[in-house]
Amino acid sequence: MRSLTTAATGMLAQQLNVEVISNNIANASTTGFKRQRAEFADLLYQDQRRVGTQSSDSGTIVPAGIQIGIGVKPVSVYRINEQGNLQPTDDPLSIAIKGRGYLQVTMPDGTTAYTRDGQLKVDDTGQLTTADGFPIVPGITIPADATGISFNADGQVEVTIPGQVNAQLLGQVQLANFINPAGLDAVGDNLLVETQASGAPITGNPGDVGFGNIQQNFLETSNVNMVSEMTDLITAQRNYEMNSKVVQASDDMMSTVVNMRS
Amino acid sequence: METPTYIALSRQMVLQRQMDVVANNLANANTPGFKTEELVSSEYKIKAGRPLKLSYVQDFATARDFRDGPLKPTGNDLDLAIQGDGFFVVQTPQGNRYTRMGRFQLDADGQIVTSQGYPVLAGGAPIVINPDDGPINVAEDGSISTDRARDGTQQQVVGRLDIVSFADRNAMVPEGENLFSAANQAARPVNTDLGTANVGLPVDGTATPGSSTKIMRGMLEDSNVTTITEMTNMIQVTRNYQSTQNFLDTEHQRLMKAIDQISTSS
Repeated sequence: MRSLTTAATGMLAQQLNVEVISNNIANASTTGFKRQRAEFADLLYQDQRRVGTQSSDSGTIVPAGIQIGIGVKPVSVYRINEQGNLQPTDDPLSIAIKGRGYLQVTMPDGTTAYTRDGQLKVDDTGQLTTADGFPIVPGITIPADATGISFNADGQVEVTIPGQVNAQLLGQVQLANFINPAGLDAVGDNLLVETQASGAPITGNPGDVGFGNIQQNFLETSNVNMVSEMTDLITAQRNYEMNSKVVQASDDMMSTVVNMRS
Repeated sequence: METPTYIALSRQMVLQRQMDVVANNLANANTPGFKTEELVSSEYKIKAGRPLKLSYVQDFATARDFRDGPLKPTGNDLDLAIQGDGFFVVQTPQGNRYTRMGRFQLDADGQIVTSQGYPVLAGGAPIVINPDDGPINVAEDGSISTDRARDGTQQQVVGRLDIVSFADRNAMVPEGENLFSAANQAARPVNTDLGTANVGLPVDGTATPGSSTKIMRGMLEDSNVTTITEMTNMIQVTRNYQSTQNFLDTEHQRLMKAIDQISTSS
């Protein structure tokens, strides 16, 4: 019975679907999280009667053969890089990226990772870091006596220092862009790393063509849409059940055969 | 003597394949661009004594229901759905293949590719997007453009997606991974002369979608499997299988009885 294994591939696919959906729901309030979708494709087909073969000596041909598919397989779980909502915070160190681009982060092993999570912190040396304490690139150090910090839309960082009339320009937040952001590899902690599929990073200042703007005092929420996740979950669960019914029905058919001479 | 058994057996074999088809439909209830399949069976008559003809059953084709599946918004710029007749053209190492599954993305070289990494064709060539450009727009007629300036004033048209249609879509061969091949052409050179008669060749390689065909951006065409129909089909198949089995049982008992009575009487 081919239908037994076919239904099993269907159940496995729906299981993966539920896993992806549950991760989306779990990360519904993770800053900068991009929702994922499992994508499926049909598996191979077995030809019982090949289309286009001759059906008689006079050259007539089979207009449509018998091709029996043997199930479904997952092809990819991809991120949907839609912009999340901007959520106001009272923290001047939280920045959101409106548009394309990633903040660059130096990892403890010296490599560069990329993130959309703009919840910045200042470490003991005054450096701007992520919530995990990894410095952002290019490094920006805040003087100890600074009283206010501001990020403008183009990513320039300025501080006000007591006794000085003009704000002091500290540096520039740079963004990195990828030709195929879906090809980035998620390593957890809101961080992504470059892969061969993503292409090399293209860096630029916020506000340049193809790059987003910086919005201070805001954070980008996850782009998970709870309603659509819940409906997807229901569909996935029902499809799982229906595939299990096929297993049951195939089993019934086989038991009919087994009990043939009772 | 055994003919009733064989006729019932032909029925059971068809039913088993029909179950396989139902299982495949249900397994692909969530596969974008998947089209419901259906087994078509026919009567197969043989002569058995003069006025009498016996008819067996034989499956002779899987037909595909090419109706549009429901469109599902995904929020991805390069998720494209075809509304109406037509297929995207995809360049694979084995030649051009056709798909309704519009889940595309950019690869590291800026080409628009499928999730297997096969380039999607526009005017017979892959589409390359300049990485420095802004967001990609796909219009209803399949033309792809990018923003060169941030304010959207400089639209740069990159190409227009090839959308092809076939005279006889059921002659296309599914190859898995949501791809179809227009068999019997390049793939099967032996049958080329048959092929042109058989398979509907792409009616127009660079056909522009007509008024009835539209490209919808940010949407995917979901599988057009109606799960309720498949479930009822499944129940029907199981029941038919069981009743044929009952018939076989009865027939078996009849034969046994006949053998018993004949052997005791002699």
